[in-house]
Amino acid sequence: MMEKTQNGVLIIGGGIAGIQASLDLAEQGLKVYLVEKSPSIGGVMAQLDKTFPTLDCSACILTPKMVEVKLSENIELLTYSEVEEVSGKAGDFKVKILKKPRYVNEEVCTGCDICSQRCPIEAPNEFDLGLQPRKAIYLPFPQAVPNTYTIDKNYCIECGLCKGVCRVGAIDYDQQPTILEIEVGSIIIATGFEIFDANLKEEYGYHLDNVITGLELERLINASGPTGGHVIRLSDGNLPKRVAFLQCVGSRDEKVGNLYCSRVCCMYAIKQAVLIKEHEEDTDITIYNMDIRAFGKGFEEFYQRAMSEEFGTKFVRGRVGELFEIPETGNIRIRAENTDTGEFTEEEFDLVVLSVGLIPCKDAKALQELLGIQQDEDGFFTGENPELLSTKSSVEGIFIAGVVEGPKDIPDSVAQAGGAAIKASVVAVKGGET
Amino acid sequence: MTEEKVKPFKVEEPLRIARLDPTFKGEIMEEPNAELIKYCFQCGTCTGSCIATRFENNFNPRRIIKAALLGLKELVLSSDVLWICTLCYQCSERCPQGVKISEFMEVLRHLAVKYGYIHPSLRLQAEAILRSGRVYEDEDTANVMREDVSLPPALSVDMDEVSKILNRTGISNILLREEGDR
Repeated sequence: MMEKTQNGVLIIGGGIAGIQASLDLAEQGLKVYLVEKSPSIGGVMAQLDKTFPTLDCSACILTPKMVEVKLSENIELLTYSEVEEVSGKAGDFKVKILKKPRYVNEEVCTGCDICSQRCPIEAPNEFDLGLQPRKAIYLPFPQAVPNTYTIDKNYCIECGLCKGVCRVGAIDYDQQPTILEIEVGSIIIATGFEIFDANLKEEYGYHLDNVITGLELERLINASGPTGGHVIRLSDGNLPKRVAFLQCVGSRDEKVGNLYCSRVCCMYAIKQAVLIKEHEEDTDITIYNMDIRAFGKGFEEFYQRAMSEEFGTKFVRGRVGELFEIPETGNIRIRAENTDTGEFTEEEFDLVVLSVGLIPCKDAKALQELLGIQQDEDGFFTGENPELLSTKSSVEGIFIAGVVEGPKDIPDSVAQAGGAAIKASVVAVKGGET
Repeated sequence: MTEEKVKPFKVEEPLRIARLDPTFKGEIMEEPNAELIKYCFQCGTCTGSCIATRFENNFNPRRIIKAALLGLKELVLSSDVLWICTLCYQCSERCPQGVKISEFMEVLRHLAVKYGYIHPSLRLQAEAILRSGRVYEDEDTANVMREDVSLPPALSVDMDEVSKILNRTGISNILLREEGDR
């Protein structure tokens, strides 16, 4: 055993959980392959403005870690890549990774942005959830790691303008996908989640201009977001004076098949209510909820603070029945019961925010088939001892961390990633059970 | 009827536990479509969606479910509000726990009739049918209106047939039962 050369670890998913696991393993001196399907690591945390309950700046916590990943000698960062094939067993996995063509040479691109400035084609900006456009050649967000541009071939017209202005000759329209074959001792899955598609709850009118999701609000309230940090109504650009939050959209709902609690929505809604108040003091905020689940450290205090005179957020215990738009003003009227008083209420708001839940990634199923890992009925991956927040998957040598295991907030994801890293390192160093 | 006020649906406080009927919940759940009632977590989606509540705020489906689950049998079955539900199924469609609320209201109505609590308006209608075979008894006026739109006079009712139906379905018995039999 002493003679055995230690293997590396493959980490699938470059969100906060994948980043944390990579850093922990790299620090131990292990070789880490971090695979991320999108052009940059960072995940959903990069899109957030602040974190609850401390209102720390999300990017200020995340970005140094992202840069650390890039600078670490032990981490091989494979963005815009996907795991194609996995064979072998614990201690000795053989993995094929598909590197999708960026049409930009990663080695030479300096991220100077000249190409993007010249590009004449606009496309929806995924990072800002389509709230503003990006170019066909783009960097997902300014702090992206790697700082390499990517051409979106769905929109690119190959006009050659970017190629003409690139001073280092990084543009290569003929780049081909490549397959990378690596050997690792263990694997950590940290593929995270997607947000619930609010269109599935017709009665909550997501198709209306002034009904947005929590993540969209997160982009709007972010100083580097599409509005420079102003929460506006999408119908007329005005600042809303009455804002309603609807909780449990896509969570704890038998009708959409998600019986589970998404665990973060209560707190992010309270956080956003507080942030809106900090931006515009004279905003009236009402949070319609079934109950507020403020379970973590400092959460209850934060909830109390939101209710206190300082922020004056109104909490109505009652799930909203339906809402509708007043065509002349674009305002939204909400029908709900205040179950504390038993009164049926119909109130008017300028902006409605749907606190959408977390659902498993669409490609989790493909990964599950690839690796043969157990999924629960909701589509999240199950660990060996879920009652102990296990990081061990049902397959020896494969570990899970973050929301892919079940909905959880940032601190829990990071904690689980650290746990997965230590377990993965043991298998990587010792090999599988012999 | 339009003049009359709906009796408020109010749970007496303090709640006397001795007056609750713990078997009522089970009795309801034996009826088809009412099995899921125990999953209600009182979120208020039904009331928030309810078209009837908008016009008559004494009608609150969530409260009726709560009272039924508590075992307030008499309050629930004798209430006016039970008969206000329009059975539009909006609540059933939206309930996050999958409770079939409209169906549950029907079950409660059946039970109410079974225990002799028939709303006076329905009793009047049923008695009219028992008497004449029609809900709308003024045949002459009806025929004038029919004539206006070139329809032949209404067919006469074969009361023997109507009685047979009413007897076979047990409606006659229910209607004839004295109030004191409850």
